[in-house]
Amino acid sequence: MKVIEGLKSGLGYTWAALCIVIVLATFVGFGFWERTLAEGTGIHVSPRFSGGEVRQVTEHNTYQTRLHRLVFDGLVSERAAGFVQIDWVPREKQSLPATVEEEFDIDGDGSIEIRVRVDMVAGKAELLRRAPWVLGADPLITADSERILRIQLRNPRK
Amino acid sequence: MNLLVQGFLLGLANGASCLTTCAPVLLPYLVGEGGTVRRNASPVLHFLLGRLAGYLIFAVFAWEAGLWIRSSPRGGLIFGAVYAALAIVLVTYGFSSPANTCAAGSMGSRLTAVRSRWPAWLPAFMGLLTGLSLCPPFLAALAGATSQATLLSSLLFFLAFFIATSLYVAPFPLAGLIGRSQAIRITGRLAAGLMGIYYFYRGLIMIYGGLRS
Amino acid sequence: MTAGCRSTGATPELTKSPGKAVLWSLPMLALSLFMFFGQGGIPRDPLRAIPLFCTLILVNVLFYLMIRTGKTDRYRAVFFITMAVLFVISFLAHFQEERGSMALTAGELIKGRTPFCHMVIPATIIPAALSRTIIFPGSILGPYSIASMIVLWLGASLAMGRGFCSWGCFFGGLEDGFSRVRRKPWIRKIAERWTYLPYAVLVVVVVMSAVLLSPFYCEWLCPFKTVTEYFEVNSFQTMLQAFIFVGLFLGLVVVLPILSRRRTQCGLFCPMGAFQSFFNKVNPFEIVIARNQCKDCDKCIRECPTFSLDARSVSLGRTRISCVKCGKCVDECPTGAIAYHVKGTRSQWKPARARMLFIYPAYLFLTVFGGGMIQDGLYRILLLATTGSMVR
Repeated sequence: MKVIEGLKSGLGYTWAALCIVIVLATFVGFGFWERTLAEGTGIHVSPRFSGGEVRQVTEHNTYQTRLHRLVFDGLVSERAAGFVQIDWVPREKQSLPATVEEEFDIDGDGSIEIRVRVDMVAGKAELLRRAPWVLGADPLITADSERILRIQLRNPRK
Repeated sequence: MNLLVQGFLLGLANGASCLTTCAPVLLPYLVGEGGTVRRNASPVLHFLLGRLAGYLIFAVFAWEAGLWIRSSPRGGLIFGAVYAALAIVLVTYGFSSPANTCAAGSMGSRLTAVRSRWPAWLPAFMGLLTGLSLCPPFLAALAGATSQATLLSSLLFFLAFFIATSLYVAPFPLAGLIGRSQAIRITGRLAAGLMGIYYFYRGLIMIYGGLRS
Repeated sequence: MTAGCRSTGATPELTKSPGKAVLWSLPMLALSLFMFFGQGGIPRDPLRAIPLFCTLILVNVLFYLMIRTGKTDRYRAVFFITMAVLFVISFLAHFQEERGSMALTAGELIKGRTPFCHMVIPATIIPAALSRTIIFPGSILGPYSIASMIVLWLGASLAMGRGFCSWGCFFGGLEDGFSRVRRKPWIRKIAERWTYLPYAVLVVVVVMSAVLLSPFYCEWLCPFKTVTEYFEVNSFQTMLQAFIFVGLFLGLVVVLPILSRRRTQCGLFCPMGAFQSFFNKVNPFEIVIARNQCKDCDKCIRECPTFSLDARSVSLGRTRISCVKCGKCVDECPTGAIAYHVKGTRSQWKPARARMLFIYPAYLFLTVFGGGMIQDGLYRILLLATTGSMVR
């Protein structure tokens, strides 16, 4: 009985003393733990916030157009609604033109689904839909010197 | 037969989404009441029957009125009112004072008296309101049902859809097992009340949208 | 407790001599010097160096007093409240420097520049487990990043359990401070069922975040948006959100703590606190009550800031799961019946040792985590005093 009590006590104090080791390890090895968590788990920011991976980059004289993949990501399966994000990114020390007009094959099936006209100065975008599952465009977003547009979509697979 | 199979398969494919609508409403109630799996089968059944009633009512409207509610600008008023009604039920249930916890004033005493006489009405009413609301798989069924030639076939389509989606709700009575302790039951009731506040906000937004259009 | 001890809750062995208190404080001095200077030495800029030394002195003086007097909560609270106030100054100045305002725009969200805070951790777990994505518009690595906050939170939770709420959370100090404004409470009784509200909020936040795939607490329920950053008010929804944030802050963080002398946001609302409670089960430290010394005066029940003591728990000789290990009940108990305790060891045996084993990791965490916030906050104040602006 006394042996068991002594053992429990010893384990308890050891566990308690380990707490200061845990705190020290947290701060001293902070960079290592951070990278291990990020790389080991493979976690990434939800595409509903980040816009998803860039699927296609179109080079222009003073800027790039980046078309992201379609985002219908749900918790376990795809959702009935989503979006596609388009970024207009000026080259270094360049600026975006006053207006941009482009067509996009957003799902990679070879046919054009949308035509977009963007007034970079006024910060407005007009959308011409050529597919019934394209619902509409959100207001144009400014992020640093970039312009970002999200087009709301209905999932054609659902 | 083809009609029933179509509705059933559509329900199976979309039923997981049903959980996102039904779980926030029913689970806090089941946890809040506690009880055994067998005892919880009754409120779940009443909830499902209420939901079926909601589905069938809507099936009749959809077929008779040709989607007028959904496409009508005033549709938001109706669905907003449904959400608001669901919210009032949840808030009153969640923040009222049951007999076996500390008294919190007389707000809940009338509700407690009603609940003790008609225990089945609360989950059935929640199910009805959930069934009437625009849950995502319901919209998928709506498209299928309104394309049917007769009212009977529309109702049968919805019935098959409902049965398939209800399979996903079947494990819910197990939720009562975690409601064995009073602390968890109180937490469940408060969670139901909080969900009610959220549904009230959604209902107000839909009513506002309906009034503007 | 040894015979002849004063009935103030003070631990007797360490109050016998200042020399002994200095000896017990030396390891903390060494650790703080290592943690503060080990990363980059003494800053050349005097506006940076002065706050560094001030923080170092504050940290070690408070720790010495904690050891010398045997009072835990009094000196912990000074550090904790100072950290919270200077964190707000530092954080807001950071936003002014980075983006020119407190407002969070859609562009900032998409660029992943929203600082990640520990309050959103419970909401991210289900989506992270099922889809390996974090439903938060931040960045995985870098300053104020998701990975950095998760590492800090994990270390604190393993070492302290819900003690994080009293020795780490940079928001808790605000209401801790407001709860000490009045000497006597106006609101003395709050119905026990409301102490379960944090757990209900936790359930709703976790479920709704998984359903909507966005951080429900941050979008609708965070009172601290009032003193950090907020969504740009440009629609009915964002106006409603701002109204809720300010209302919750004024109600739960300012007014109710002043009137009740309790940490009402922590004890009656915070879902992160409710989540942290479960870590108390896997933490070696707890607060215990010696029933043979307790005279049932209920002073601990009245004084506990997070409603973690009630008649039932006192009769069982322990706190409720929501205990934040602040040490207030230990300090206030007139008979010294309440003490820190290491699980597995005999109850009330060498309570001073158990206390020391707890406050060392807890205070070290507070020092390193909070010390940086205090330094930067003081730097911003010096910058304001010398240049007229808190930002460079």
